[in-house]
Amino acid sequence: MLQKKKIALLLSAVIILVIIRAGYMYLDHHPKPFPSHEAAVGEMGRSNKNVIQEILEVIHIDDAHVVVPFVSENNEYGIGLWKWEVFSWKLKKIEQRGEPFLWKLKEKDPSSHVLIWNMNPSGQISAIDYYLMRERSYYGTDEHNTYQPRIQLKHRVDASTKSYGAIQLPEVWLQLLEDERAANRSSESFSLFSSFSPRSSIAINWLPRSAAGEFVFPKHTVNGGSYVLSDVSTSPVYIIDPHDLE
Amino acid sequence: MNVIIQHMPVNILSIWFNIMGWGMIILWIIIRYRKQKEKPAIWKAVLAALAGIISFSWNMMLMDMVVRIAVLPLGVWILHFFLRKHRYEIYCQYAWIGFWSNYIFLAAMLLSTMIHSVMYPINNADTYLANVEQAVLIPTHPTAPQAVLHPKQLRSLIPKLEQAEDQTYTWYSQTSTKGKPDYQMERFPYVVINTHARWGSGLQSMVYLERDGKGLLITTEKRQFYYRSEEPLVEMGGGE
Repeated sequence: MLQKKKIALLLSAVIILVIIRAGYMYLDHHPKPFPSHEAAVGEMGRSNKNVIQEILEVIHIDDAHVVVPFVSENNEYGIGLWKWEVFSWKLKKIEQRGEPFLWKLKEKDPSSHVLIWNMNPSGQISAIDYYLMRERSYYGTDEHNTYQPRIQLKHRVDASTKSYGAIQLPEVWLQLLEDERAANRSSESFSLFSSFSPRSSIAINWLPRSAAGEFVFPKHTVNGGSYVLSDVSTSPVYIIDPHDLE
Repeated sequence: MNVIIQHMPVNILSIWFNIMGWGMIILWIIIRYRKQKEKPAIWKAVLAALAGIISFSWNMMLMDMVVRIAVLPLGVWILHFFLRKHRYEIYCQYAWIGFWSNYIFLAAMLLSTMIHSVMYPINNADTYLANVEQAVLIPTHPTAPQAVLHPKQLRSLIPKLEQAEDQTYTWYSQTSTKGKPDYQMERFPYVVINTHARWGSGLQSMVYLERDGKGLLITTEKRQFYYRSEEPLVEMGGGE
């Protein structure tokens, strides 16, 4: 009798846990609508210490990630990163400047990385060239020599009509990154044995261009700080000099 | 499903020898256990064997890889320290099996690597380019001439590829030194993606194509191979 009671108790506990878990999963995967512009302006303004004047757009990356380019009252072009987390929309990070950067939704998966920017329109930037780059290198050991070809792939984004944006990396870039990752992972024999290789790695850079196609220094876009409100993985995208291109 | 299995970069030899290694250890434990008069609980014997694997080891390079040679049986000593003398005598033989299993795995690794190099000769282009049905050419440098890859054409030329002497330093200096005719002209301005190595080899590589369409540079984590073909591997100047 006692045994039965115990089993019943255990079973109901398990069932309750499963229901709670399922409910949590359901709510976690079905975000509520993104807050109104007023509410988002208020929250970002508080975190930014500068009043937000205008939200330029609410860009939905997927169900749970939103990018909000904004203009603040002192004419800064910044970006807010939002994520649906534990049943509410949370502001994860404020960038006061709109220089391009990567938001890595999943750290190790380049297909989840989002390129984000918000240029000051007075900067005369009419296009942004993004580059997937890796330096040419040569190295040798006693037995083997290795030559690493240079990679320089361009992806142009128009900035004349819309000076902000959030895009996924181009498909070709993702395929190259995947191949490069695979080739650098040892699987020739037991993979427990790591080896050291001094290869340079692939980077993403950007180059602002004027309407005439010339390099313009984005002086309105490179000053300012950022506020990280909770753990979020971003990495800077560095500007390059046209002389560094081939 | 079949496609996925075919293209999984798994090293079947490595997996097979690992399983064999574990099988031998389990067998060894069972034989010891049967012979023993005063038997401990079997799970405790297994635990003792697992503890025995812990060892202070010495890393050395052998056949192009780092191997670990177990030297000091730390796991055995730990058991010796914590168990009373009588109980230690019951368990110590399992701990020693654990310690020697380091050598079983070492032997398994060396054997699988040797067989691997026979089954999948790494200086043979066909090992890396066993399947090029879905191969796609990506120009990766602005100086890449117009070219189109036809998988059938590439497929038919792979057996005729000859390994050639690489000139890594020359390639580097000619394209990186101001004033040289090839300055800022990448010698390998394409990458061929979606190629697959022979099934079961676990090999993965990055495949670069030379500017004249006749050379392939295959890079793995450890090594690089350079092959030349008499005929172009892709249709140069094709497309538009």
